[in-house]
Amino acid sequence: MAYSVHISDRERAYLESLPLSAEAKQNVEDFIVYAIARVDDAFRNDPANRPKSDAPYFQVEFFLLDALDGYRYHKLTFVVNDEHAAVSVLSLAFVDHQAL
Amino acid sequence: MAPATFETDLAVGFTGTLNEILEKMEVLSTKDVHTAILVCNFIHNLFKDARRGIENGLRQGVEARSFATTYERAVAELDRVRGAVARVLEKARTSHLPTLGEEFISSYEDLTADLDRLRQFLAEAVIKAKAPPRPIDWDRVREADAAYARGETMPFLKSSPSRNID
Repeated sequence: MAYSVHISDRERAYLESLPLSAEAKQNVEDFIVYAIARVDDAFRNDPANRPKSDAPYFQVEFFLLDALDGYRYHKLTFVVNDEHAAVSVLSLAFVDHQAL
Repeated sequence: MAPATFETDLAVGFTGTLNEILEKMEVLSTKDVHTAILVCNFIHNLFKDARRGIENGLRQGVEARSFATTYERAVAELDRVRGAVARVLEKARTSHLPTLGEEFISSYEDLTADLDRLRQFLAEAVIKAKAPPRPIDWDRVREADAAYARGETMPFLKSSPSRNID
């Protein structure tokens, strides 16, 4: 099942401003469309992936090597609101980028 | 999300073969030495393919924790292979091989060097994948939730079509 992943203008702008090559940015987008939008219940409901046990969020960390920008590693942490998962909607609540 | 590559699994499976070469080093025939060099080159190529596959996977991006778990184990397995290759080399340097002694040694030295590079590459990637994320900014989370509640969010759409990296 694929969810519709909603994003606010602020988080979208944050993603667009990431210090990554065009290829890496495209791979970040692919991760949202192909991994977050198709996240399975087991991952989503795993307590290890939920930052607060009593709140409707799961967290996923995306790790990539930007070969076109100095072969640097990057990590993006996504916090996703799954309160409306039952109606196939997820909402990106927070994205954080770390250059490693 | 980050399976160990077929090539890595296969190459690690050759540790037993390396141990057999080690045990029979003193009695290897000319044909056996040829075979041992072919085995070395085969393992070497598997690890080269593995490195390419892992690097391509990292360029496309992986789920960090899954990657770290899988490849932390792979680093330990590489250490076992590295140890087996080192023992073969050590024995070869003190044994009198019936033929191609120098080629035998240089093949296993090349394999050792590439194994060391692969191990370093993987160990660095695992350490970075395990880097703890920064604290969540819950104010930003609340703002995003409020934007969703006000109907101000949009379904995420890619800005351009996907490309394959090969």
